[in-house]
Amino acid sequence: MKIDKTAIAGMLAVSAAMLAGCDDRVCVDKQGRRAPVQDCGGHSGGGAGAYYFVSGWRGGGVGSVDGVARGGFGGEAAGHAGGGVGE
Amino acid sequence: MQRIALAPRAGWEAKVEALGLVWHTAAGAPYWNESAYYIFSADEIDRIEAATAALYDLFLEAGDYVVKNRLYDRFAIADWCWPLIEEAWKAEPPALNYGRFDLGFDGHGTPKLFEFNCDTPTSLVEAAVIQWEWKEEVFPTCDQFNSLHDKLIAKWRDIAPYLASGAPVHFTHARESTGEEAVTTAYLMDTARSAGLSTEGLLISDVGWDGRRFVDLQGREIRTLYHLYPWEWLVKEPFGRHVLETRDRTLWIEPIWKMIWSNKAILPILWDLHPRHENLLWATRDRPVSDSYVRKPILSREGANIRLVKDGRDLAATDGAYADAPVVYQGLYDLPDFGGVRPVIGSWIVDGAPAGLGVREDGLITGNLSRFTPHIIYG
Repeated sequence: MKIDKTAIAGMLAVSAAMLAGCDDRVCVDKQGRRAPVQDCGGHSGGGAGAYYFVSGWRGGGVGSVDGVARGGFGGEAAGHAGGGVGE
Repeated sequence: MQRIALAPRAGWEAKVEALGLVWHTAAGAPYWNESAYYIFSADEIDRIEAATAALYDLFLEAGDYVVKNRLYDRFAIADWCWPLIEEAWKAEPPALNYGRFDLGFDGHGTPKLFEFNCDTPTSLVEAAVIQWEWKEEVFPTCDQFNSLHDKLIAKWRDIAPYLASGAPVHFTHARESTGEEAVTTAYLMDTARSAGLSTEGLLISDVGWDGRRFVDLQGREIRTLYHLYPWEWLVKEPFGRHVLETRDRTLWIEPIWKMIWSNKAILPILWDLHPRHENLLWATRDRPVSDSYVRKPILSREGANIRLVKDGRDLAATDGAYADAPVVYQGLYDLPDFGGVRPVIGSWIVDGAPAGLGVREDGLITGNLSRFTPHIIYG
């Protein structure tokens, strides 16, 4: 068997990107449209920015942005903290 | 089958990290353990390989039996999933159809099945890549039972013509702090890319629902979705029933029929169909038939909520999140003892073809932190 280390390096880069994508916060305006996170000023009633963090989705539970609901999968994993999903 | 102590390579942490194993240490101790290795003879590997192929055939027969007799209640599967399972079982949609049989084996007798991990099997990167590179550096002239990498790529290549053309395969996993699930998923994504497929990765919680379709973060429809996330969780979450609504639009890898094979409720059915088969331990769902047994929840993961009883006395037990789940009972297997270290063989299979092995070692119960120790074939 031969393993292509170049491919594995590519895999690691992808993994890093996937991990980097695990931002806890998603920012939306008052109409529920996505907005740059750096422009967000309020979360769960705190702060006074023009944009808001979605209470669901990456904060836990289902949230909706631009008419698309997200967070409808993955909740069970959050309830198994430390356990992992592996068999 | 021997276990030999060995000095770890200098800088082993950096070496395995460079290959993707960023979770090489757990709870302050090496999870990837190259302070020892296992030697198997060619004859022993032949017996593991033969048992793996035989067990796969038993699972095929048991799957047919479950579907034909609609025994889904025994598996605690919601009734709205039954038609999906039956459709998928009969239609055989494209899948990797990979998994890992956990076996008891001491080098002398025949390997015995503990369970089949085929919905979200992990220790894949360790088995396919890390131990192979270790062997290439430490024992370059020896062989290893390991064709996982090649077989996964070949299987992607095999199913590629049957996947939605022009759309990427989306690879999903749950957020998890060690990186194990991200890297395991990324590794599988890499095998798909090596087979010529275009791929996209995202968290399972980032999968969107636009009212009629599953979509990715760019709003593109997800046509093929690989999930390192258990079916029994998917179907009870808020988007679960959308799987039913999109049955003609989104292909799930692995398919929903894996809810049968990956569930430990299959163990008593295997035993009922093939009592005293040489690769099976007795298994029942009502009560133990001996005073030495293992009690397992049908859906537990990572060695949680397992209880071992020997001669009527508790030998070991773990706690976890599955205390209230239905259980099965299985005959107790006396794992080989290498100075207090007890190995379990993880024998991989890809679409019916044995594909290699990995050894996890611990005490009497193999769990999330049980060490992965490499192996070679000699003689």
